[in-house]
Amino acid sequence: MRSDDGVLQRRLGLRYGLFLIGFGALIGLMALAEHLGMQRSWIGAAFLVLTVAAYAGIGFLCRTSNEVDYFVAGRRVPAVYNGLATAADWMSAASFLGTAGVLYLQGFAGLAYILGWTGGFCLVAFLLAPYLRRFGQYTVPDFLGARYGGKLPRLLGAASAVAVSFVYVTVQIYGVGLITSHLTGFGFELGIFVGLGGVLVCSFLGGMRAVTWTQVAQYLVLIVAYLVPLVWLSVKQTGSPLPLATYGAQVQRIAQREVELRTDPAELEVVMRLKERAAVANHKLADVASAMATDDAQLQQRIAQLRAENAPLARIQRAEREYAQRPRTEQQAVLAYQRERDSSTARAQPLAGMAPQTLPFATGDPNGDTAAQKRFDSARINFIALMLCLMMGTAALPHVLTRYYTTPSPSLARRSVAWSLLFIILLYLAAPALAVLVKYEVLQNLVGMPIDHLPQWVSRWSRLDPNLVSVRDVNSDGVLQLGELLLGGDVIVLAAPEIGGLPYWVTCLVAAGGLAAALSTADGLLLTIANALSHDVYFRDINPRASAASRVIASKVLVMVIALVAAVIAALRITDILQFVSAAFSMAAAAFFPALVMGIFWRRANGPGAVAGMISGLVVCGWYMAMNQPLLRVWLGVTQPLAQTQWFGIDAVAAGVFGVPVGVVAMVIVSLLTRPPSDEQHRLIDRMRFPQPDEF
Amino acid sequence: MRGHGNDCRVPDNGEMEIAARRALWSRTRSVTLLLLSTWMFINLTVPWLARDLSNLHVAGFPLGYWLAAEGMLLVYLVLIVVYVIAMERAESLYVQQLRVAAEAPVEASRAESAVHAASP
Repeated sequence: MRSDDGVLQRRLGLRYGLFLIGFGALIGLMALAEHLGMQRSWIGAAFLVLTVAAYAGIGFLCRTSNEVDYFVAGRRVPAVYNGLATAADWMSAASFLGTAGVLYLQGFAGLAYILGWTGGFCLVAFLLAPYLRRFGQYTVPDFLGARYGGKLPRLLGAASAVAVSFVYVTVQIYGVGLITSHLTGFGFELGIFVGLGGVLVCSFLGGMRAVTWTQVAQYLVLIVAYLVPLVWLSVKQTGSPLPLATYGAQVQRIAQREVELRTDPAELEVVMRLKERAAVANHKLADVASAMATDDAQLQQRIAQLRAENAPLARIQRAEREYAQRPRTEQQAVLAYQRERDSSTARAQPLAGMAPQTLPFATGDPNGDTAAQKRFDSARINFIALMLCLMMGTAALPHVLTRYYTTPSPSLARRSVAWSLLFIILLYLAAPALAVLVKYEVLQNLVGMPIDHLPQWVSRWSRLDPNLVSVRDVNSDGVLQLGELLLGGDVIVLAAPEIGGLPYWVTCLVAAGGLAAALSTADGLLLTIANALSHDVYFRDINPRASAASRVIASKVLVMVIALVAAVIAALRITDILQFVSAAFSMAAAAFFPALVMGIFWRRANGPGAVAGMISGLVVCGWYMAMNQPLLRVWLGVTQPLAQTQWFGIDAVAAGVFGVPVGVVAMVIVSLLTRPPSDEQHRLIDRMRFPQPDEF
Repeated sequence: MRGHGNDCRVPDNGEMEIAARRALWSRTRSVTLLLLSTWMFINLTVPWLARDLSNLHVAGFPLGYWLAAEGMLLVYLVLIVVYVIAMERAESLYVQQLRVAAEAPVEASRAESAVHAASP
């Protein structure tokens, strides 16, 4: 047994070593190709096609129809490799592309995500992973079904798993579309389907087994893609190849620069002008039709004037582009004016509305007036609430928990949580550093440049999507102020290499990393949804006599169908869905956390209690969101002011901090009022708590 | 607990197993409780005090920021490693006790026959 493990580990080490060497060779080759003048879109396409082909190849080699292989990778995954796979499974497109952006824009407040998404693994290790592994079935609803008996806990679990994972998978596929279209110039929809091909080959052919071994490769790609630009930028800025230990120097420089910019007269002028603009836009909204006509005339006049002055071509083109993009209908105009008003208001603040990079709870001041003190307290309590909510959500997301079913033993499941966290914090330690280095580059080098001589990436990105990057010379002095630059959070990581002046192939490498992050998470989620439906619903309730083979086939068909539905929804580009990703954590926490943990640690917990706990948790959580989430408030016509609907001033994102305790209380009360669990359930609890003699 | 008293009865296999289980589970609970409360303690105190801690600096970082961006992440990792080590110890001890318990009936009967042999 031991020597087998050794052989397997050595073989895996060799294979992934070769994979890394191959990936390094690809990077070197692309760097060379760029040096020799190969077209940019070719470099991007090569990164995309070759990495996706590698994932598909691994998926194909690991194809299987065996039940245990398909559902839990044969329970043969060594702890380290399960750690790698979990890290890839866990880190989504949002983690990879978005986290550094959030930190860039919100500073300290963004660290709630970093802490929530790492600290949650303590809960996974202490409360869940080893016990679930010892229980040893295939899915999380399986556990609820066995521990609590009856249909309802299992079906509730399956429904929650499907709902939570589906929101999440749609966003991943959206990310896939965004990256592929950016990397290759394919259309967004085509991009989605190309990426989807890569996902499907894995989960369709080989289930958990193929997904595991692809995820390991995807982790290697994504971590290399994240660290290369970070280390390079750090060497460029400070000469240190160890950014995590040394970016403190840049933190100090940024703090100094932030103080300068706050009092810079040009910045102050921009803020004033932006306030004026907001007022003008608000005025225009009163009479849209005539405002449109005036705008039209003004733009045409400016173009004519620029031509007459023989202004630089770039400036004329910019004006012409603005004219070409003007709103055509009244409806469009209303939206445009509203956007103008809102974005100008948001940016008419010092530092363009960005928080100082490292000051905690900067919106308030503990030594200021009562309003500032109140804002400080609210920021502080919301930080902690969001962090706790993300932690409990992390420990309740079914696609992560199922990964711990795949290790050879419970003790290795425990070790594998430690490995997972090690590989995960590698990226989450890097994200704040990357945000700081990019901010330094922007504040130090970009701000103050003549607008006509801005680096090429600015115009390239603003052509691609003006909501991500745009520059407007608000005070017409021909020099870029911080208040005139709009840099969306989603673009910070993708554009970091260009912002730092690194070669184009680094951008492609980062995009390939983002793609790996999105695909690996999508793989895990698709499988979770398909297994919840095929195993927990179809097999347990509809056709209990289904053979192992037909269950695997059912799951494969479902993977296909769900992937297509998710792709169609993602292709509609309902961006509102992005707002519900953090909500997914609250919902997962409220649905699963009390039932899972108390099922292991409290003998007396029983079926009716679990059902009551899950339902009341979900209801409280959903109700709180409906009352406080801005978009849902609009849909549902909630008119009460937030001050009345919020409890302790906590935002809707962190609704889980109310859902979980309510669920726990409901579970305790109902369990105590109903019959204790059966002997069979007691035996199951014993089996989870105590190792078998042959485990060591 | 009666078994260890004056009546000199040797604990049998089932009782030893129960005692081993009780020991393992109370060990598990105390390890879990200790680590969870450490975890909760830093989760609540570090963000709560972040603003005050930011007046101190480490390697250029304000301390409040550094703890939230790097320090706490490393503490989480350490907590899990401690948990792994503590639980592996406790469980392998338990498994050993089980093995002893599995051999116990033999010893118990031997002990009994020794008593019988001594009595006449």
